Amino acid sequence: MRQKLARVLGGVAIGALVFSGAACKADSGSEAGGGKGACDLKIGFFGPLTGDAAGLGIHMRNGTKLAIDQYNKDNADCKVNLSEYDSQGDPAKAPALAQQAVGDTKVVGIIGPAFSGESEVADPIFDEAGLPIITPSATRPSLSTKNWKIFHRGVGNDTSQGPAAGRYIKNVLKADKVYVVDDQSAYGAGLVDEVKKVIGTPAGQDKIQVKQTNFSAVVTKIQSSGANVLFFGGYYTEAGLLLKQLKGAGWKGTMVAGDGVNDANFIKVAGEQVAEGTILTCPCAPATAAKGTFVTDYKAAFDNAEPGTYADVSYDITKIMLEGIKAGKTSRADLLSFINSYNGTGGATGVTYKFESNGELDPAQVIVWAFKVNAGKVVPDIEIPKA
Amino acid sequence: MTATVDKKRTSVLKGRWAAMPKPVRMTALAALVVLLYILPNKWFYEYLGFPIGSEYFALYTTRSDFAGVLFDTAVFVLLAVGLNVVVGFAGLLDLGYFGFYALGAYTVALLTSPESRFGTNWPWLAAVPIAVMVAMVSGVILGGPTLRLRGDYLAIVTLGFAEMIRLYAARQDGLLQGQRGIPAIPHPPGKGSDGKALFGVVDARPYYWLMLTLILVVLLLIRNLANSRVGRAWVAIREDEDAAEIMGVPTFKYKLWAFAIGAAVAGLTGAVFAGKQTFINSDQFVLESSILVLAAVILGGAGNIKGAILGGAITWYLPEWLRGVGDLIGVNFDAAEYRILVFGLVVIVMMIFRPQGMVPNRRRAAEFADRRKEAVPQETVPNE
Repeated sequence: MRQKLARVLGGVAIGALVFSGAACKADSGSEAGGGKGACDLKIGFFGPLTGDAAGLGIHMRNGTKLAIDQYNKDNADCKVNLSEYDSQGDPAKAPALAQQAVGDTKVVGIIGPAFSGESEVADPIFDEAGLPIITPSATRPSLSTKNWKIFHRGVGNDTSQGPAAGRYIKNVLKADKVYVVDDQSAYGAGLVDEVKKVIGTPAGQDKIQVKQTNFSAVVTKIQSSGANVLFFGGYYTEAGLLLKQLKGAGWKGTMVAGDGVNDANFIKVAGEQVAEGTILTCPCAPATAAKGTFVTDYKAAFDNAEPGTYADVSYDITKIMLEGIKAGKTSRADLLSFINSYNGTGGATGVTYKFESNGELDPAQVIVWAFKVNAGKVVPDIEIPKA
Repeated sequence: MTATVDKKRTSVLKGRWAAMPKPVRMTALAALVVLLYILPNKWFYEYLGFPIGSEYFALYTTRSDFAGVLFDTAVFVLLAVGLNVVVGFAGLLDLGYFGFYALGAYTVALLTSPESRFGTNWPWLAAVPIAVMVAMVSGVILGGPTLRLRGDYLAIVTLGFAEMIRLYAARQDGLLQGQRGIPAIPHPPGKGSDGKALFGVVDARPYYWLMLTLILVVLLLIRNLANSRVGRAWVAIREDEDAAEIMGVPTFKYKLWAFAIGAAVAGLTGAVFAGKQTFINSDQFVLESSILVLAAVILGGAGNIKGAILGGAITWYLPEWLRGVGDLIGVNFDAAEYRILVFGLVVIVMMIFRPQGMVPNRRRAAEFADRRKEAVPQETVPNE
C-alpha cells in the first residue's frame, strides 16, 4: 500500500517535472501599440466561412482579402494581415471569437459581423473594447439604435431598401394585387414588413423556409390569389426555385426581390428564361468604370469566381480601414475616429461612404436601384426615387 | 487486439485508483477542481503546450478566446451530464434534449428582457428557478404520454418535440420573435471589487466559474441519486424493463423522474447560457446540437458520469481547438472546415474499438463483452 502510494506520487512528480520542463510560452510577438506606422497590424473578417451560410461569407471574405492583398503589394515594407473569425453563422459561437479578436492587440478593425444575429452578440464585446467595425451585410435596422460607438454599416439597412422596393411596385409596376413571401430569416421578414408598409394590405402572404425545395403549396396560393406581382424577401436559392416552380405552373406575373437575390447565382438556379424580367433591388449603385477592374481583379484572384453579393462592399469598406492605417491611424481609437469622419467614394460600389453618428450610412448616400434580369444578366433599370 | 490491452491497462489503473486511501483520492480530486478553476487565466494557460522547433504547439485554442471556449465547453458538459441521466442511467433514447435547453433559455429571455413580449423585466436570478421549473414541467408533460414508447419510437417523439420548439421559434414572429430573437437579456448580478459588474461582456471567466460551480453541484446531486434506490431502479429499467416491472419497480414513475431531472438540468444550462449570450434566436438550437450531445454521451460512455463529462468536453472542445491547428502545423489550411469529418472518423473508430465508450460503465462494458463473445462463431456441437 505504502509502496504503491510512493510510486504513484513519484510518478506524478516526475510527470510534473517533465511537463514543466517542456512547458513554455508561445512567442506573442512584438507588442503592437498605437505607435506611429506600426506594421503587421491585422484587420479581422468576422462571418460564416464554413457551414450552411458560408456561401455568403466567403465572397465577403474574398472582397476583404483582395483589398488587403492589393494594399500589401503597394506597401510591401509594412504589411497588414487578414485574420479570419469563422462564426459558422451561429450566434452561439460568436462571443468566444469576438473576445479573441478583442484580445489580439494587433487587430485594429473588424469587417463584419456578416449577419444580424451574430452582430447582436458580438458587437457589445467589440464596443466594450473600442474595436471599430464596419459590417458589409448585417442590415437589421435595430443594430444602430443600441448606442454602440464602434458600429458602422456599409450598406443601407432594411428600412431603406424595403420602402424603395414598395414604391417601385406601387409607382412603376402599378400592381393592384401583390403577394408577399418571406423566408422567415431576420433579413427576409424585415424586408417584407417594410414593403407592406408602403403597398398596404397584400393580396396574400406566406412564409417559406430556408433550404426548402418544394414550393407547390405556396405556388397554388399565389396562383389562386390572382396576384400579378410577387415580392420575395429572402435569398437567391429559394427565390430561384420558387420562381421556377411558379412559372412552371403558368404564372405570368413579375417577381420583385431584394439584394439577397441580387446575385448571378439566382439566374443559374431559376434558369435564364424563368428569371427574365425579374426586378431586383439593391441599396447600391450600378456598375461604374471603377467597378470593372474590381470584377476582373476578383476573378483573377479567386480562380475565376464571380464576385457574389456584398463582395464589392467588403472590398470598399476594407479599403477605408486600410486608408486609415496608411494615414498612421494605427490604434483602435484613432482608426475609429478616422472611420467616423470618413468621407470618400468606394472604388467598387461607387457609393460615397459617410457615416452618421449612429453608424448608419448617410441616408443621402443610400441610393436604391432597381435592376432587371435581362437575357441572363442583371442590368440596371432605374434609380428608385426617394419619395 | 488493442481493445484487450486497453482494457487491461484501464482496469489496472482503476484498481490502483480504487486501492488508494481515501484522503489521497480526495486530495487528487480537489487538485483537479482547483486546476479547472484556474484554467481560464491567461497567466496559467499560456504555458499549456510545447514548442516544436520554431512553432509552438498549443493545447489551448489559438483562434478563439480560451475562456469563452471553456464556457461553451462547460455548457456542453453540463448538458451531457443531464442527458446521461436520461440515456445512460435510465436507457431512454432522447434525441430532443436540446428542446429543454432552448426552453430554459427562452424562459429567461421572455421574463427578463425589456424587449420581450412579456415586458416583465425580472432580474436574471429570479428567472432562473422559473426556467428550471418550466423545463422540468415540460419534461413531465412530454414524458407522460410518450414514455410508454420504447427505443427508436421514443427517440422519434422526442426529436419531434425539439424540432417543434425550434420551428416555432424560427417560423413565428409571435412569442419568441422569430429569427430576430430576443436581445438585451440581462447578465447575472454581482459587482467586482472594482465596482464594475462581475458578469460583463468581454470577460468570459466569471461565467465559466459559475458554470463550473453549477456542474459540481449537479454532479453531487446526480451521483447521490445514482447511488440511491432511484438509481438502482433506473439501472433495472435500462437492463430489462419487463423484468423490472414484474419485480415490482414502478418503471413508469422512475422513467418520468429521469426525464424530468434531465430536463431540469438542461433548463438550468439554458438559463445560464441566455444570461451570458444576452441575445438568443432559433439559430442557436439546431437539431445538430441535439445529436451532438447524444454523441458526446455515447462517446464518453453512457451510464457513467465521468464518461459524460469527458465526452462532452472532447466533443465541444476539439472542433474549437481544430480551428488553430493549421497555424500550429504551419500550413495554411483551416482544419475547422473538416471538423465534422474528423468528428465522424473519431466516432466510427470509437464505435468499432470501444463501443462501451471511453470511460465505460462497468455493467454496460460487460454487456458489450458478452455480445462480442456471442458474435464469435461457436464450435459446432456434434450431433447426438
